Order: sequence, then C-alpha cells, then structure tokens
Amino acid sequence: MTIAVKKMRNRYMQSTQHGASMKRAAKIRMITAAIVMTWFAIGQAARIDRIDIYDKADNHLLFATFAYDSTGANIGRSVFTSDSTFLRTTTFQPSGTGVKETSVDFNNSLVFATTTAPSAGGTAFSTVDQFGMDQFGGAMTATQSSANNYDISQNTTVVCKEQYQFGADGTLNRINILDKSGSLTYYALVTPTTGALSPVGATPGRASLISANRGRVNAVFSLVHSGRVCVEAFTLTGRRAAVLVDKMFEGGNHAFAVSVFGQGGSRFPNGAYVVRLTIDGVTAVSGKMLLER
Amino acid sequence: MNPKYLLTVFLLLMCISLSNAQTNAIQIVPPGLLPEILAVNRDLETAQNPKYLSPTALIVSPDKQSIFIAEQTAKQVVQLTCATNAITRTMLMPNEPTGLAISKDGATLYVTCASDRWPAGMVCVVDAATGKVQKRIPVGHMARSPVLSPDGKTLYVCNWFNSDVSVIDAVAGTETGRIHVTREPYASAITPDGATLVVTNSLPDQKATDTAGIACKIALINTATKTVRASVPLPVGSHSLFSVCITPDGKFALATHLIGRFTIPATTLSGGWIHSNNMAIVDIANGNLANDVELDNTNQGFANPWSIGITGDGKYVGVLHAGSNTMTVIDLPQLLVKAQAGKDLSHDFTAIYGIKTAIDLTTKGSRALAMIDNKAYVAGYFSDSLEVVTITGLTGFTYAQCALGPNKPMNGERQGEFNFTDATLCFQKWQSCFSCHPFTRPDALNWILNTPNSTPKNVKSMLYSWWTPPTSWAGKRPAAGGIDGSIRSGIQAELFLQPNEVIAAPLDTFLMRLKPVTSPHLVKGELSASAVRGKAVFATIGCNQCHPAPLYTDKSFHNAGVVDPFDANTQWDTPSLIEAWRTSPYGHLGSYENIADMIQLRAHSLGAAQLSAQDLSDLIEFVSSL
Repeated sequence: MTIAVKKMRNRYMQSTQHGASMKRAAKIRMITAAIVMTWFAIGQAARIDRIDIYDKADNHLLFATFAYDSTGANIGRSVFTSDSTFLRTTTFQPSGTGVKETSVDFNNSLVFATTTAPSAGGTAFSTVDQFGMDQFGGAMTATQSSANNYDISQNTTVVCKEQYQFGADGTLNRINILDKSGSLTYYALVTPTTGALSPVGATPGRASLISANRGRVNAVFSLVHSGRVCVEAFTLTGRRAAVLVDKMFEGGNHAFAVSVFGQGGSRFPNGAYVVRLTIDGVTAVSGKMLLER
Repeated sequence: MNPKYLLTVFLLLMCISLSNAQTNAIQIVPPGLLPEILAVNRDLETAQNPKYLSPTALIVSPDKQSIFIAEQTAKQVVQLTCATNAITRTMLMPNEPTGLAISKDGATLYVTCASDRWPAGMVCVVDAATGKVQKRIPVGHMARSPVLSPDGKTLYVCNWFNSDVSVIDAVAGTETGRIHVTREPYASAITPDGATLVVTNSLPDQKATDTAGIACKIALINTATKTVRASVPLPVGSHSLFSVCITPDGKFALATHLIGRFTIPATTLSGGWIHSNNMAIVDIANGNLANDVELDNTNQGFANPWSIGITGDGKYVGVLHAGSNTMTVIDLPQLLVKAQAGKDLSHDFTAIYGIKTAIDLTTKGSRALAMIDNKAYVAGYFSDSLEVVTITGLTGFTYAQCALGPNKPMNGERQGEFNFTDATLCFQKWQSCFSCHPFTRPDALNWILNTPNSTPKNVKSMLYSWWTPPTSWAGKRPAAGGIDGSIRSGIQAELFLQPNEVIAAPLDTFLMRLKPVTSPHLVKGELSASAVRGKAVFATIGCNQCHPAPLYTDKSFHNAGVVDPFDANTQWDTPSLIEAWRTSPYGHLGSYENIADMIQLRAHSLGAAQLSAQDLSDLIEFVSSL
C-alpha cells in the first residue's frame, strides 16, 4: 500500500511539471488507481480462502476453509486436520444481536454451537456441545486491548490473547495465539481469496475450493438437500475447457479432488483458467487455477 | 479537480477501506474460529478447564542420563534429567502422545500420537538433540506402543482400533505393511534377538456366552515372516491387557491383566470374587502360557495392573497398579521357577507369598514405568508427578518424588475420571469402575450383578449412557444420575461403598461429558461410499425407527429376538449405535460376535432378510461408521 501511494505521489509530482494535458491524464490515472486499490483492499481482506493452524513448534495441526454468500459475507467454514481429514462444517445464523455458529460432523450431527454477541467492552461468546453443555466452563469475552490485539477473558481473567497481523496491502495474513503471559502458543497463516467469488442469488448449499492449481481441484461443499453439482474449468476468455464433475449428490457434506488430466485436460495449454462450482445451476464458488505441467 | 483534494479523498478512501477490510476480516476469526479449535481440542486453558499433563509413557535414553515422558493431554514430550529430576526440554507434538521408542544411539525419538478426537495415528520422528519433529509417518487408528527392533531398522506400532500392527521401515520412514491381530492391540515388546514381537490384545473377541473360553489372547509375531506364529489364550475371563515386557534372557513375556469371575453372582469382593489382578507368563519359544499368577493378597486387591518393568540386574519385576496406586515387586528368578513347576497359579493367592511385596505410591493413576538399573520411575497420570523408587530387595525401598508441573486442582470432569479409575474407593481395593468398564467401554463379558433376580447381562458402554436412559438392559437402573441411578447404585453394589456426593457428583460430570472416538471405518472423516449407501438402507428397512439419529436409540424397550435361557423378559433397552464398531459382542447377552449376525437376526430387523449381499454389506459399513 505504501509503495503504491508513493508511486501515485510521484506521478502527481510529474504531472505538475508537464502541462495541463499531462495533469488531466494524471488525474484520470489517479482516480482509476484509487478505485482499483479501494476494491482490492476490500476484496482481498474481506475474503479468506483458508487458514492454517500451527503450534509454536511449526507443527501443522489444522486448516479451515471458508464459504461466502452472494454479498461476499462469510457464512461458514469447514475444518480439517493436517492430513485433510474432515472434522466439521460450521454455518452462521443471526441470533439476536449476535451470531450463532453451528458445527456439524460428517453425518450432519451437531458437534457444538458457539454463540457470539456484543457485550460491554467486547464480544461475548460461549460454546456448547450437542447436549448444551458449556465447553469452556463459562462464558468468554474477546476484548480489543489495542490495535489488532485482543484479550480472551473468562470472568475478567485473561486466558489467552490474539494478535492480528496485516500485510502492507491491509490483508490479514497471520493470527498469533498467545498465552496469558504473551508467549506464542499457536499461530494461523491466512490465505486470502484466490479468485473473485461471484455467487449469484441464494444457493441450496455452500462450497469452498480448498485448492485449485496445477490442473487439480480440491473442493468441499455441503448441500441442504440433494442437488446437481457441476465443476467446470473455463479459459479466461470464457470458453469452457473441461467439465470436471457433473453429478447428483445427496444432501450433506462432501469433498472431492479431481484433475483436468482425467477430463481431456491434456489438450489444454498451460495458463490460467477459472474453475466454477455450481449447485443446481447456481454458482457457489469460483476461483482461478493455474495449469502448468 | 484539484489533485491535492483528489489525493486527500483517495487517502481517506484507503483508510476507510482498510478499516472496513480489517473489521471484515476480524469478524471471521475472533472469537469464533480459534477458540473453537482450541476448546474442542482442550488446548485452551481456563480456570475451569486447566491443562493437565497426564504422563502416560516413559522411555529411558540409552545413556541412562535422562527419561523422556509422554504427557498425553498436554500434547507434549518432556525430557527429564535423572541427576537433578528436572525437566530440561519440552517438545510439542501435533497430537496426544501415546507411546515412545528411542534409537540405540539416542539420536532419534519415535512418538506415536493419536487422540479420541483425532484418532488418525502418526509416528512423529523427533530429533532428540533439537526436540524438533522431523517427519510424521501416518499409521493406523489410535496408534500406540511403538517398539524398535534391536537393529534399529524396523519400528512396530499397535493400531489399537484397527486391530493390527504397523510395520515401519525406520530408515526410510515409511509404513511397509500391517499384521492383523485378534482385537485391540494395546501393548507390545520385542525379544532381545528381534525374532519375536509380543502383542497384547486388550479385549476378548468371542461371544460373551462362550463362558468356557472367553479370554484375551497374546500374539507372538514372527518378525521375519511378519505373521502371527502363536495366539496364546489367557485364563478364562482375562481382559484389559495393558502392558508387556520380556525377561532379559528373552524366554518369557510377562503381561498384566484382570481376570473377571463373571460366571458367579457379583455379591462380594474378598478373595478376588469379582476380579483378581494377575500377570501372565508366556513361554515365547513354545508359544504357550507357562503360567499366570495372582498379584493380590487374600484380603486385599491391587487393582488395575498396568505397566511392568524389570530391574537392570534382572532380579526384580515391578508391576504398577493404576487403580490401587501400588507397585508389586517380585523376585523374578524365583517367580520363573514357580511358574514352570507345573501348577496353575492363576487363582492361588499364596503362590508367590514370600517372593513379592506391594508398596504404596504417591502417584495417582500410576500407568507408566521405566527402570534404570535398580530405580523404578513411576509416572502418575492424574497426579502429574513422578515417583522414583529404589529397589534393593523386597524390603528397604527408598523413595523420591518430583512434580512434572504446577499443581492444578482437578476440575469436576478430571476428578470424575480419576474416581472412575480409583480402586482406593473400593472395599479392600479390589477393583475400580474401570475394571468392568475399561475406558468407560465394555469389557466384553457377561456379569451377574449384585441386584435381586439378576441374570447374566453383557456389560454396556457408558458412552452417552447419561443421555440415553435407562442405563441397564432391563431398566432396573432408570438413569445414570440420581439416587437410584447407575452411578450411585454401582458405587454401592460394585465398589461396596456407601455412595456420597463427593465421589458421585464428579462421576456424573465425567460420564455426561464422554465423547465418542471417531470410527476407523470413516474415510478421511467422512462416510465411505459404501456407508453412504448403507445409510439409505438403514432408513429404507426401518432401522431408524428404533435407532433414530443422533444417538441412534429410541430409549425404549423392544424384543430384538435374542434368545435368553436365563431371563423370562423379552423386552430390552435399545442401545445406542454410536461406537457400535468397538462394542462387540452384541445383544443383552453378548451372544452375537459381530454386527452382521445381529442385523440378520430375523426378529431384530425383518427387512434385513430381503437385503442383497451388497445392501447388507453397505448397512454394516454404515452402522460400523457411527
């Protein structure tokens, strides 16, 4: 971000030295740049494709993928162990002034539910299991202690801290989990969105692309009821290059890995493609895939 | 437009967008995601949920200067320097450590990791010099008890709920094969020449109605052919084989276990009436049981024998009793003489009088033992402490204790788990709740409980028992909690202790919070294709009428068609199907070894008779996946 601003300032300085026409051109460039960069900042930071959780010894423990609705709002996530074993899918529902997060396992059985709501000085939250039993032994509160730093407290006693780190472009790229003394215990690396997500309308399910690269697509999705799921790859000019998946799935949670090389993909040249997953014809998620051999 | 004004507007826009961006991003994460993960994995330490250590395995460095300790619930391995009894290094593991092995040069530590919540097992290869995990080798479900061959080239790991043993090329760091064993391999040891791997199966694999033969078996594996060359049955009623070691000459394997006297009504405790606590002595060369000895005294039990070890001079064998928190020390050469004299010692309390002694330990839940010369290092799972006992004979022991971390008072759940395993609550310390319900699950035996008109009934799993009343097959115990419930009745009838709330209330908390272990039949945590088809069959033929989700029981009584020659009742409580994959045998009499037999019982499920072989297979796969 800082570099971009400096470049624009340089351009402004240059434009003042080269006459009115140059100034007009500089204004147009500047307005365009402002619009593009504003979109970039919002678009990049508001959407996260994946978070990888590590302990302080750099052991990869878990990763989570995220799902978004047509407005770009985060509506859920799926959590996997480091070997991609599915743990659960969480969906969000408005609950009073807060949000209720409901996590279900492979069999759509409730694992636990977290309720968050604004409270004095922070956000209160509690997690209960399928029997309504509290998992923390009491309500917790996340309170912003300083810029990008949060205290997680129970009965006003800090039990851990969270620290958010942003890249130069404003993108969230790392979260540190610290113990109450401030020592690192876990950290999360944030992968921003890999492509423009453009869901249209309400979908009968949710989906996330875990990865789409080198001709291989890994996706997870959940269906409210049975539906037709189609995964297609398009060239950047919009020509459909391959249909990777086109079949009916039962309601529930699913995951698959598929390669374009089994779908006639060897005919396609190296380059960038857009992968789109639709549920009953409605785009649930899309992203860019780089095909290289 | 003035460029200065434009620049100001632009910078304002950027600030607003950045502010929005951070707000949006943060909404995704705290407090939702990370506390969720930490809480579910019990890694978030709060006042109500302290982070306990739970030492569960020990291994001595080859130079005998230090001991590595697997701290299960803390998900770490620590190194203790013996000279100072101080922790000198902490190594984080990706999951709960369940067992330890070390290379002969002491350079490499092998740590098996798995947990109830993440049961996919792995072996972490740790550089002992740096404490860093260098490699993770995927193995089986709930992997534990790693054993390294004497040449250091092969590592063996018990996959508890896969009922097999992983064979790992320790040099290449890859699994090369599996060896199937009987049921739930829990512990293993290898002979000094590396020719035989001894594996204990912790539960019997027979019908509970096979009263003449039901018992655990010990597998002797030929490491050259990677096959089981002998499966040695222990005395009838044997179960809960949790540890094994090899005598220094490599001739005998010593394995701890319980013997349940399940054929007689459980009306008293003295003299091992319900349970005795024993040690098997297996002749490795001949592949048979040389003998089996009582570790209890006539008027006092030493409940839940667990880890076992031999002093460096080979003179004494030490056996930890996790329930009574004692250690039995036996003169090993004399024990072997008696064991080979030809007389069955399995029910003879006097057989080893004079060559054994039992000492009280300060550790609680004493499950792990390591020997350095004549020093026994004992780890307490619930006390988070270590006790060092110097053994110079059957008397004159000296003791030293050290804490492995700060003292953290037990919360209700932890206290309940401890009470569940604590035989000091029991009259004469003969048994704990854990004796009939290892890890709160069934011991696979039929018991005649100490209640009026009682007849043999298969032990039920306690998983979700709190939530699925009644808790007994015939409904005599209406619920888990409450004054008439199973918990307080069990304290009175099985521990012979007057129930009190100090003991019972934490048990309530512990049992209501039990969580299932993810089924080994799942594929990457999901239903397999076969199980998905089976789920449809489950609904089609109406299994879900009596076994509705989410707990797969309607909590009602039904006639499942199980023929019972002992009881005139025909209606029995419908059990939950969660974890059905680990609760064999089935039915209130334990008269069906596998799920297929139970499903195909005509009166149990009329629709099953019409199923194709494929549909039946799919249905079994689904039920096994719950």
